[in-house]
Amino acid sequence: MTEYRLFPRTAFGAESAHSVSIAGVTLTERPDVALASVAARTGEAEIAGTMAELCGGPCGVGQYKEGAPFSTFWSGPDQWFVLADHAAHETLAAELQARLGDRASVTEQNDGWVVFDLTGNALTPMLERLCNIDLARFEAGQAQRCVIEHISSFVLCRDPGLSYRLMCGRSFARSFAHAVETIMASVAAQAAA
Amino acid sequence: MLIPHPILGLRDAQEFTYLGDASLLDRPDGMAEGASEAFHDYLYLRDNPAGEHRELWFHEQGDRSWLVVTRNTLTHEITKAELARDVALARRGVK
Repeated sequence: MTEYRLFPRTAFGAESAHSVSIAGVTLTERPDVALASVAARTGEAEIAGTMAELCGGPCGVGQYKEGAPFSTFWSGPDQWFVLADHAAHETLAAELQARLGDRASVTEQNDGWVVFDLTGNALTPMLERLCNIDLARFEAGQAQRCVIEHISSFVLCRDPGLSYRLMCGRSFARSFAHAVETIMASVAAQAAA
Repeated sequence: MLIPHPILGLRDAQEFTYLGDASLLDRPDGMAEGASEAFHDYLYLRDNPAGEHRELWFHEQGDRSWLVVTRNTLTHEITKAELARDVALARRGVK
């Protein structure tokens, strides 16, 4: 039998997570987050109740709910993304499918999306350059899909102005990180001027 | 232009893509008598009103729902936006 020697690589083709810090703002890739998406099948809208049981409470329109072991955010009518620790829940999609049965379609997203954490002490000037979200009303526990540098993304708010979680298609990881890092440098330079 | 999304509120039109006349929801039965005639009309014949127009928009950079938007083609005033899913299900219920 062929002996395969396979090694996990991040979305950047590296062995460890991509991380860049500029003037107190840090963008860190999170390859340790497992992802799956859940969509209720036709007429199964009450799956929202099962999702609430799994994720420790209901997750309504535009909401992001952090919890253990599962965090979740609303991505569309009767649709959610679920996030979990990759080491403990590598087969997250299969786990969810077992719990939800044939009332929902569950799709593994580990290789579909890449998760970044953006932290710092004044992120609003950065995000307002990157996306069209109304940041004055974007509070902790909210999620919104938007376009960043022509790339479809999710922005999840953990602490307004201080901590956000960003997601984009995995193959866009380099371009996305480049765009965010360019703005990080630009905002830092303007603040210093 | 802002589109009043029925779930998410006012959203910039650049988040959406436009498909066309909302009559596209009324797809003819391909197995029925005179289907080719019906499909010809479905595919090629459109009203082009100067005024109120019902049209399909896709919220691509948002919740990815299809909307039926009622828009005045002269003023771009939007008078109504509904989830296309609700419109289609309501029509199916009527039939």
